[in-house]
Amino acid sequence: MQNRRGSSENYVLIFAFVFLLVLIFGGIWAGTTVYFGEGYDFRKVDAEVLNYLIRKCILERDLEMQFKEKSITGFYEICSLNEEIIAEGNNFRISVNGEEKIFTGGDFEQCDFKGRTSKFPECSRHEIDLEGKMIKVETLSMRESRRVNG
Amino acid sequence: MINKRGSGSDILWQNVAYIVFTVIFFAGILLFLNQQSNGAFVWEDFYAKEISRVINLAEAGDELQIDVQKATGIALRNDVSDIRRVFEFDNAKNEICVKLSARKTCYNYYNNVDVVDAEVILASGDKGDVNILSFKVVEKRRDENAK
Repeated sequence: MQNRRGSSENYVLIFAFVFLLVLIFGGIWAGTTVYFGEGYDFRKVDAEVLNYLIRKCILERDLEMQFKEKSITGFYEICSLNEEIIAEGNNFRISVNGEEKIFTGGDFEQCDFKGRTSKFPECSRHEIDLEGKMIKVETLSMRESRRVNG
Repeated sequence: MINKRGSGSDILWQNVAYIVFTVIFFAGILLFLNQQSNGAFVWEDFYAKEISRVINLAEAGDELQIDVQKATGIALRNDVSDIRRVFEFDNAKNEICVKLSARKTCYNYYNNVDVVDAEVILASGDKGDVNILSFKVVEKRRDENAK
């Protein structure tokens, strides 16, 4: 006669041990992912670069017609900027003497929220004086990189 | 009456099970931390974005050379054997992809130019020499299949 009473609880302890290991591994994984997982925050730099390119274009090219007609497509062509890529994660607004001339959309006020996280955009704002006209250029960036296989 | 027959083998198998699970656990932890410690994803992200910044600020006719010693070192440690696949430019999409691990990270640039003659020039071995990414920026070609 075999007495098996109590022998099964020793094997139940193995499951508890495995569960504990899974918890520890999960904690280590979560910690390193939170610390390393954010990537390189480039939004502010991206907004500054776009702002610089737009100001450079305004200073070097004649954009009177584009401002007069508020032509966004014409602006992209003259300034040699890729409209599709900018539309994916950027926006900009150009005002001349307070009057909005070109606006691609976007909420620039989100850039001023205190305590904002990486889910909010970053902005760049600069003004230039061109022949007595005060031109304000505002750019916004929310672009992120893509991780792909291959 | 307590029957202790077989209790010795029970204890042995339990201990074997504990040891096996512990070894698997630590092996997994070491593998995971080793992958995180060289930070392949962060460096992919960094290089993709910084190279896109360089391209955005460049003008047609510029020839550029960038120190990529760190990136190529990480790529080799992660078994990316073909150095030509570490930095890939796609002119149709205006995109730079950096591959330092099994996956790659891509980022677009909005300057409407093409990147040509891209190559990684390996260090010659002299003291202070580093691996260099070299490429040229030219006017955008109208053929969208150009790479």
